[in-house]
Amino acid sequence: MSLLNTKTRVVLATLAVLSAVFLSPWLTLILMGLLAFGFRAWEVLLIGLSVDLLWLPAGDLLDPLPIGTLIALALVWGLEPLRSQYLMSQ
Amino acid sequence: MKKSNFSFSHASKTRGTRKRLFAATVLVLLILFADLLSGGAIRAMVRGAYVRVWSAGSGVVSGIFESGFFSTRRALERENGSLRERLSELETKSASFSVLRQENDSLRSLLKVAERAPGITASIVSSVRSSPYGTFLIGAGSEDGVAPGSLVLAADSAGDGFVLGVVQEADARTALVKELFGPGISTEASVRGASVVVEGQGGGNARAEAPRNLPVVAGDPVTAPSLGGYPIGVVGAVKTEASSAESDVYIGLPVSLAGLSFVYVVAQY
Repeated sequence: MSLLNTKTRVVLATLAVLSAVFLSPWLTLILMGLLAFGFRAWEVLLIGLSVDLLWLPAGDLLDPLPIGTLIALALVWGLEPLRSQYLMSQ
Repeated sequence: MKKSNFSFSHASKTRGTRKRLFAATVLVLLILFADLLSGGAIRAMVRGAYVRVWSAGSGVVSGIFESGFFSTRRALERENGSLRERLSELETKSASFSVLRQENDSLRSLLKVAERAPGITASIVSSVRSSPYGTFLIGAGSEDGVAPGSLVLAADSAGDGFVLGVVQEADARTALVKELFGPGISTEASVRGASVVVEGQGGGNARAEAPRNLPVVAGDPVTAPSLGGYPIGVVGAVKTEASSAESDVYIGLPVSLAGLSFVYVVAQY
């Protein structure tokens, strides 16, 4: 992985974490999407989980749905075919 | 030969990154299920840590911005050295005063609300716009008498209390509040005596459908009989289509969520 790619990945992941904690959920989603599209980024899963651990209200099992984690899973594994074609970095 | 080496190394790297991704997936699912099965024990730990970081961070950030460092820097550069030092000192004092005055105003406006029902004042200890679930954290928990179902109120400039949300989870020192106007949240309410279902849109805004012949106008309060009859918002606009039997009523909070520092929590209503 080139230095530029590593830097991009670190910057995107940091921004996504800050956004999940302080800023808009839409910005978090966009940053998670960019990370997942550009890299096989395991950080996306942790960011999605963090969103749920911080903000998910109590309820029955899977009600409300942990959408942060589900979106992260969908981004990471759903984008895999596309990423294999156009991956910025391995 | 070189090409074959490259493709072998490429395939090996791909396998490695996929393995890491798979391991992260398993880990994330394990943590999520452990949290769900433990009734939110991991969430409570994460929120406790978050509140500590937020409290430390917000003090530093408000200190920097309230000091006027950024806004007055150009002006200060024109001053001589000794004046600059003196000014900086006075500005720091003024910033502290301004923060205290802001807190004082906020608490004073809650005083009128406190006269109506017994409860406690709590500070907001998280961002109010980051949650995709329309939730935020307050710095009072079960040790302070806060329980799931408690009402969380804010006061407008006139000192009238508005319900912001309902406590969903209460840990020992913090509680998670679900906003009434959070995205996709429905609340039964009353406007001009008619029952309506208010659907939260996020950002302190909501929408409801009212009978077209109901004389709803901007500024009408919207109350929730199921929440102690407290107001939950104010009508901001009414849109009526000639072809529809119902009017779209747009409701907003009379206070800015982002500008709130304190809320009033009522356990019994």
